[in-house]
Amino acid sequence: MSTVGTSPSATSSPLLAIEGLRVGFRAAGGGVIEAVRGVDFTVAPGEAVGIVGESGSGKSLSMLAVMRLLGSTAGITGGRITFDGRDLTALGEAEMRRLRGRDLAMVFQDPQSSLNPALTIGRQIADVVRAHRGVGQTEARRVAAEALERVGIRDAGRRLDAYPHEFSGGMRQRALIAMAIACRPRLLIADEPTTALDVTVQAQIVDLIADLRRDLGLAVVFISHNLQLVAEIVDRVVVMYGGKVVEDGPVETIERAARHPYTRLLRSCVPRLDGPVGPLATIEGTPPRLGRMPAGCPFEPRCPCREALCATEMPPLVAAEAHRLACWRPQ
Amino acid sequence: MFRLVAGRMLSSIGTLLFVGLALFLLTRSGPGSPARIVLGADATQQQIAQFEESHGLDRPVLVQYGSWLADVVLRGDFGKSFVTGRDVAVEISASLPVTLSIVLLAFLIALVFGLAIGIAAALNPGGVFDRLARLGAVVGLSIPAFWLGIILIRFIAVDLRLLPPGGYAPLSAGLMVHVQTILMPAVSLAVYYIAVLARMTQASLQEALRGDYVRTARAMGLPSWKVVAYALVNALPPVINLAALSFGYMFGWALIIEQVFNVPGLSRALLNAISQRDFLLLQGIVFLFTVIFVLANLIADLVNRTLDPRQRSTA
Repeated sequence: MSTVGTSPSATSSPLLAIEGLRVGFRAAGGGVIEAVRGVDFTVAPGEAVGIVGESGSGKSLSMLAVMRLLGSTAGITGGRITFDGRDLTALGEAEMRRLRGRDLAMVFQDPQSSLNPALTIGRQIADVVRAHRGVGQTEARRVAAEALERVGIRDAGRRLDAYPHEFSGGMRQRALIAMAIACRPRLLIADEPTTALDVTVQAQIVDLIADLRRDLGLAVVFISHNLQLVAEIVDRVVVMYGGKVVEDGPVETIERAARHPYTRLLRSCVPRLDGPVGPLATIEGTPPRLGRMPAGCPFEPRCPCREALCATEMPPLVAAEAHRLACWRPQ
Repeated sequence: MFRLVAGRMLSSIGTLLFVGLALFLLTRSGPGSPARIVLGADATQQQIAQFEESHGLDRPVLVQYGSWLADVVLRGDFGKSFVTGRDVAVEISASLPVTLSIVLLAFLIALVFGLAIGIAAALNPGGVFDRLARLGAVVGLSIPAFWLGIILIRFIAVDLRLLPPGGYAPLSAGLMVHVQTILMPAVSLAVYYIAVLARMTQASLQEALRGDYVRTARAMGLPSWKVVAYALVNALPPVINLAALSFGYMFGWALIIEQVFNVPGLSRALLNAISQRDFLLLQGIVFLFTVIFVLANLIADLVNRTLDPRQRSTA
């Protein structure tokens, strides 16, 4: 990338700064297939940022890279991740483990399978507490009950002894969030935390995360493919496509005055109750396949506004005030 | 919990009744009367008829079964050996401790090594233990226990003179002496099951480690030993089931191993009972094996139920 636009919130010292992050999978032939191709953005203390994009846009991978939980098949191939002044890519596994759950925590998509079926809810929350604070069983249990109450589970003290299968999907996601906030981290990463839930429950979980952010001063990164859902609680939206940030701006700008053709199409894909009745809007075509990224803008093959330059050269991410955009033909 | 045990007991009783009946039909359908063997070739037709009558062998098989069953259930009496005239229970209790010692030690070895190798292999996919486990599984599964027994006798007992080549010393002769006599039989018996249990442990734990809850545990910064423990709780049930089956099968293989090491265990009693048509002793021993098998599986079920809260609450 030729020009790197600085993120709007970089003025105050950011809590999390991702610079030129690249994540690759080891290919069968010995090469590396890059799925995240130079991502930059920052999260200020207490800020809520939404990352929006289709499956395969690299949004989850980027955040798994921040947690250093990429597993054995993928790895960070370039860039820096600075959290509270420390470069996470340079930390050893033991130091990284101490940060996870204490300073930054992540909850995942499927609450059904994300809790250990064999252990009580209380035990699982208390284990997180004990992993980071040198406290005994009783104290850990007290903290666990407090966390469970904070995420809105009634009669928390008694529910500690329940097993995950005795909880509904929404309650399980609450329990997972309780695990994540039990040690009062400063950053909560939520990877599509509502995708597997009923629509009514989705709204409750989104509200819960907004409450926690306000009460605990948490910074939040909310990953979703649903722009409208994210817009309800975040300050800023980062739109990703093909392993790159294509647009980034305050939520009002993205909602009302998005300039990237992809963001605009994404917005039109969410059906509205007061909108016209008819077939659901879709974006023609499919996202680029890993390892077959086009030389130019990754959205070019599907873009209604494309021109010759788009296919050959990747537009740089250019910052203008609080807004960043990578497009040759902004709308 | 009580209902579960009661239900399992009922179905176990059904199994035992069926096995008992099958035993009766099979033993009685074979050629050769016990009378001919006990009384010898010179016995007259009348003597034989008298023997059969006094031992109830002239009655229909189902009637014999019914009266045997009544004796077992009502009085715990498995009858008397045709040959020695002693109680079957007494005959069995003389040789059972020998077989039990060997099988228990073999089971312990199989469990400890099987789990340890399986866990080590699952934690280092592609590593030394993984490759060792794969190779060991093929080798361990292919080596017949009796052949391994002979090899052990040849090298460890004859060449190196580390352990006695055969025979048996009871626990009352001292723990060391006792273990020295049962160590080689137990190892020969265990090798196959080490391989089986290691493979199952590895596969089940690897599967569990891919679980979302393991990723959650990592994302919350749990220490890695705890992450493994989280996965292991969920990986153990199939291993425990397999261990219970293995424990039952070991009694079968122990019969052959006891012959190789010339140990006076149940195999000797069983083979004598077969060749002498000592039906009641034969039935008693096979029935005992069935009970052990059923009990081992019942225990495995109970252990699994305590590991898995979902099973507990739906029982």
